[in-house]
Amino acid sequence: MDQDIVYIVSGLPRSGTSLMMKMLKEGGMTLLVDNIREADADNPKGYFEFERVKKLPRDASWLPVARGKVVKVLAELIKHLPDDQAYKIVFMMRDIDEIVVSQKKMMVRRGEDPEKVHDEEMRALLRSYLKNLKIFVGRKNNMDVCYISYNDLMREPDLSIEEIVEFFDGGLDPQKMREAIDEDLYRNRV
Amino acid sequence: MAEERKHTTVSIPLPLYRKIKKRIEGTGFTSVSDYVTYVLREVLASLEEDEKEEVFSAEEEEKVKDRLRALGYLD
Repeated sequence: MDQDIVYIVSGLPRSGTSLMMKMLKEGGMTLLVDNIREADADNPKGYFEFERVKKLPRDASWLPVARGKVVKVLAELIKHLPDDQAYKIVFMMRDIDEIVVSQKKMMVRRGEDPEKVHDEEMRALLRSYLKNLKIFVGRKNNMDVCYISYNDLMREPDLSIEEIVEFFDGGLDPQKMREAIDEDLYRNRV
Repeated sequence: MAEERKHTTVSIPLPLYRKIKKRIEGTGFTSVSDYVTYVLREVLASLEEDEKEEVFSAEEEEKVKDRLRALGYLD
């Protein structure tokens, strides 16, 4: 891997970002994680997060540590990545209906009100949100992005894995990436 | 007089080619080239529309951020 590039897995919550982190780890990449957020019922295999990422709007001083590694950066925080750094981003997409269903279950487990915004409105908001984010990323010369559909990945893993391996210029073990997929965890299908 | 060429070659990554080939199985598309041509025409036609950002009110943006916070992904 290029030690000057920061490799990123991004997407909306519940779009398969943790799965992609695990796949890249098994495939041979080094992750930047702190394991502060532990595995739970929503992500039994773990979250693979680095807490300081949440501070990006105010503090990006940790970013050099991420060079040559993979770090999970939530879609919203992509906007706060400094322009003077090159990034390769695997951006996870998923059927919006499935995302909303899965998010609501997670909110219930966290004691949050899942009905605060009506599902139909949230689906429309998330679609627009993603569209704007894609436009934002497309305008950035320092961001190279590969959009991976979680639904395609679960349906035809080998094709998506091949795409990811090529995006990362080879050097990943596709078999081990394939073995990282636990189809039993694809629980919210619409 | 030589006939004017009507097609040319464009390179795409092999994994993408295979993905498209799989996707068009059982559809009316007879080749990856046909499918790619169709998609590119569609994309070009709608490009102007696609490049227009959705207008988000402050309230709508806050609803999305509130959802992300509720899920533990934002401070």
